[in-house]
Amino acid sequence: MVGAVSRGNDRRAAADNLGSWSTQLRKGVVELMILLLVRQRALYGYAIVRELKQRGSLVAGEGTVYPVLRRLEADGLVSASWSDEGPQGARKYYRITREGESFLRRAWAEWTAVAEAMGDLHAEATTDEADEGDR
Amino acid sequence: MTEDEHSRVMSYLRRVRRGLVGLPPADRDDIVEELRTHLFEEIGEQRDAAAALDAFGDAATVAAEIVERRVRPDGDAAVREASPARRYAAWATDVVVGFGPLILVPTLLGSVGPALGQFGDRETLPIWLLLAEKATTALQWGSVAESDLTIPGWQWLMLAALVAWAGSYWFVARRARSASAGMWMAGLRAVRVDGDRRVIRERDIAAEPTPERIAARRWWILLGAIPAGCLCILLTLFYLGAVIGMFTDAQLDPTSAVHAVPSLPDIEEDDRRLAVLFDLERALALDDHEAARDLCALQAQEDLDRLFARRAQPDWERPGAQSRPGWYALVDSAQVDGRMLWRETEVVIDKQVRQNGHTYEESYLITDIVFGEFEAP
Repeated sequence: MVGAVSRGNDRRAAADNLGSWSTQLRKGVVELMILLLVRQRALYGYAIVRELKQRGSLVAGEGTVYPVLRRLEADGLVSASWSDEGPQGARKYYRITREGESFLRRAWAEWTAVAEAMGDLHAEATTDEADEGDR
Repeated sequence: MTEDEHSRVMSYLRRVRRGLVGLPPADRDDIVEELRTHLFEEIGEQRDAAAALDAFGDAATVAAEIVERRVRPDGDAAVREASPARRYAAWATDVVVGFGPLILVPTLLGSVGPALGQFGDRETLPIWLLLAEKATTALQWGSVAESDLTIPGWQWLMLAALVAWAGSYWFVARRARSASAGMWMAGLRAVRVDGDRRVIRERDIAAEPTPERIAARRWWILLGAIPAGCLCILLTLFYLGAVIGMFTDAQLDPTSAVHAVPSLPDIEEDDRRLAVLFDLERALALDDHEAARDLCALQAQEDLDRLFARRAQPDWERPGAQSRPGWYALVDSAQVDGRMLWRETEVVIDKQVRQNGHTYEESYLITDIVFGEFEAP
């Protein structure tokens, strides 16, 4: 009975760790996601959050987008301007800058390299697993 | 949106604003306005306020993350804290701004007094010296009430105002704001990162365009802060020396502490006044009215008669005279209805110039006699 409770706790702990890892991963790539979104057209904060949510819960929490937007703006990777068109007051629109474009190209190359390496690694691992199963 | 939802959102935004302390005020306004638009739009479109605020995340966490992303140089690198030299400069400036007036203002008023023609008026002496004199007199007499020194009301008001300023600046204003006067001068900001208060350079808060010389422009404040600070230190040492001198020296007059070494003419003048006092004591002891009259100016003759009458009362003992530079008193005591009474006769002795034929001669005469009676402590 004690062993069963312990195993249950272990599983819950593993699930919690996965959730935390997933959050960290999303936080890590949210800059890239935002740059890709505002590269297409100028967007305001709420619209960016909505886009990210519609594309499969890419955002860890709505409030996490704004710190990233602020940092991107402070680093000069996006520029921002207020527009009066919103139904609840002025909206702040973000668009990518030349520095942002350059950063995005380099970051995307990095992301692709990591993703390809991860893909290769995963393919090798699954092939080895299948070979062992055959034996 | 209901009124209740509106007030919940506004309360949430106030918490965010508090968490953003340390960022430039314009940035804070900008961020809060952007979050307000987001939340209002979201609530207006589809959700109730509770769900929208829940999805947005804890206010303090959102604010902390915004601040952290602005001050953390790159990725997970450590936040760059301001150098000790810069922080010490800010601290020292705050000391001058907060506590400097406690020293500078009384000194300034003490200097303005003589400039207005009140040189030597004890009322304009810095209150620290007056308080020290009162304390030393109280130690000598055993009670503050017996001290003949009264500190004017305006001096107490000034002291209260200066202490209130120092306390409110140092313990309230300086801590409530993200940058005190000293920090503003040194280009520093206090922010909360990972739950800790960190003091960072203002230029390390990421901004576009980068404020290249944001702090350098404010070092001009040092032009005022350094001389004021040095003056405060020197004056503090001076007052400390004067106060310690009062407690250790037998002479309790603050003016004697201020002018630590009396000049030779001053000593001679006091000796000559004391000689008049001793002559008066002898005349009183011998009941020699005529000899006493020779010691008095015309305006003090009536007071002298009263003094003789008073000293003739048999119940009163005569412990003798009390004196210190510029002040002389004859003291009697008596037991009346089981209470010990003291009687003090203050004698004012001034230099008088008298014409004698074709010549003028200087002499020291009693010009006023003041009577007082009180219960012994």
